Amino acid sequence: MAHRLYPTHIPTSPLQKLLLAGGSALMAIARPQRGDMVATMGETTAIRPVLQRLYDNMARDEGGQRLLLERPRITNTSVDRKYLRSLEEGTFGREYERFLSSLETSPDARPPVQFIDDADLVYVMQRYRETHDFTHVVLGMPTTMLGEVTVKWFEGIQFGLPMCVSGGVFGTLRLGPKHRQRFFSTYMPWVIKQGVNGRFFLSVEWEKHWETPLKQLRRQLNLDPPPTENS
Amino acid sequence: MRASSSSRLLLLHHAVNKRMPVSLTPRHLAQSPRFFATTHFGFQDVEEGEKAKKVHEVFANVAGRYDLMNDAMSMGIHRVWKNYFVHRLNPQPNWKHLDVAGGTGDIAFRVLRKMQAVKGSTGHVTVLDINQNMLDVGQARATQDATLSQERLSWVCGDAESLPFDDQSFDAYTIAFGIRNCTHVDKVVAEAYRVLKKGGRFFCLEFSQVKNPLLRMVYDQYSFQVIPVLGHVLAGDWHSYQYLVESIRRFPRQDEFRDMISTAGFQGSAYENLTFGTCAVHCGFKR
Repeated sequence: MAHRLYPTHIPTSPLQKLLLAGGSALMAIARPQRGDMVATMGETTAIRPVLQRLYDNMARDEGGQRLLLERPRITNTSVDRKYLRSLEEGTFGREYERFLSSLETSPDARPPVQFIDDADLVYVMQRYRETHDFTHVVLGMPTTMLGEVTVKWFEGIQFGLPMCVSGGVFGTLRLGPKHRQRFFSTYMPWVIKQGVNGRFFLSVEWEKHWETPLKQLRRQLNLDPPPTENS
Repeated sequence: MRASSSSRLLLLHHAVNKRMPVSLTPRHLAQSPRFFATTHFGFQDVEEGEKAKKVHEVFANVAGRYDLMNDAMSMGIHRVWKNYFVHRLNPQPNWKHLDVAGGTGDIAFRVLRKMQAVKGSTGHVTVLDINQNMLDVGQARATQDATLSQERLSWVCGDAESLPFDDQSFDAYTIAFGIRNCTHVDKVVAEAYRVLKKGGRFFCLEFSQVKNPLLRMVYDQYSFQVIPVLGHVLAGDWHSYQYLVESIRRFPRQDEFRDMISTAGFQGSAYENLTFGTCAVHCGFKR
């Protein structure tokens, strides 16, 4: 096995990755509150070709290149919540702060990446994990079952990460009949369009858009506003 | 930009896949060039003061899932080992018994039950552990068990290397799966000798070395591949269980440990392998 490539790295053999993938999947279903199990499942199923493709996509984009060079992190220290609270209503930063407060969570609540055996690809995974909340905010999807499934579909389409794809499929199956109906009639066609037409989210330099009004940011990212209840 | 990042990745790819073997042979202290005293924490070399702190962290973290993990890792066999251990100990009904590193009470409860089985017994069991979290779990388990006479159990937070008891105050001393975590094994055994009465017995149950090379290979694979994964999935703690499987390999061999027991003054020191040497029962007698 390789030696440690980054501080939180736990090098694992192929057998261990297999056991981890299976074990974490079962545990995540049995105990949904185990966020670390969802994280482990995501990491152990994110095989090298998938992450490599994401890395290459980022490297093709000017913003993505900057991200890969500078590797900014979204942590409790790098995000100034007070400053975000001071921003105008309707800005991306203000809405993100509102999102965090309503869930009583913080950027550090996301577990660090442990099982990616590559010093470059680990950043792709870490960036994905840390910007997941931004995806929620800019798509306008709440953390309800329906909202989470919709976000998973978006991520599955844009990133192709196995956990997002399978999460989207299984999540859909677990929706109640009314929500499933609404998903198929409204949310699914909408999110497919956003995933295909929208800018590649991993290349977006979110930290430069705190003061951008959400409506404007959506236009810049080629996104439609979220469907309303009546549509 | 793309070409250079791809080639950089290619270089990285090769570097990562160069297999760096994890050494399984214990590093000897004599090879350490450091001036101050070091010991081992699993496969890491640490300063002696550090080890106690790190071990404390491990057990503070694992306390809540300790029993579940024991069942999962040994597939329930640890219960068989402990039953046999107490059977060999042969507790007497009026003993003053000391169980060290007894944390969650597995040995203490078994000893107490044997004592209680004899009518009119006056025996008492003291459980000592350096970690209050483990003692808390033990006490909770005890109160939930109606078959145990609570008043015949004492729970003491203390250090096995410096026991808070008078000389010659116990008839028997047990330590099960605890001694390998202590910084100075020789001090622990010496303290055991001190607090035991004349005629008292010392019994230790601990992971040991598997002699058979084929079995050892299977055991090592299971230990290093499966155990930390179990720890991560069941207890959310990879590192504590990585420490566990490493610390087992750092502990002295069966015959070396038997000699340490003799050195402390015990007579008739001997050992018996369980499950091909996965663990062993060591004993010594204060004559």
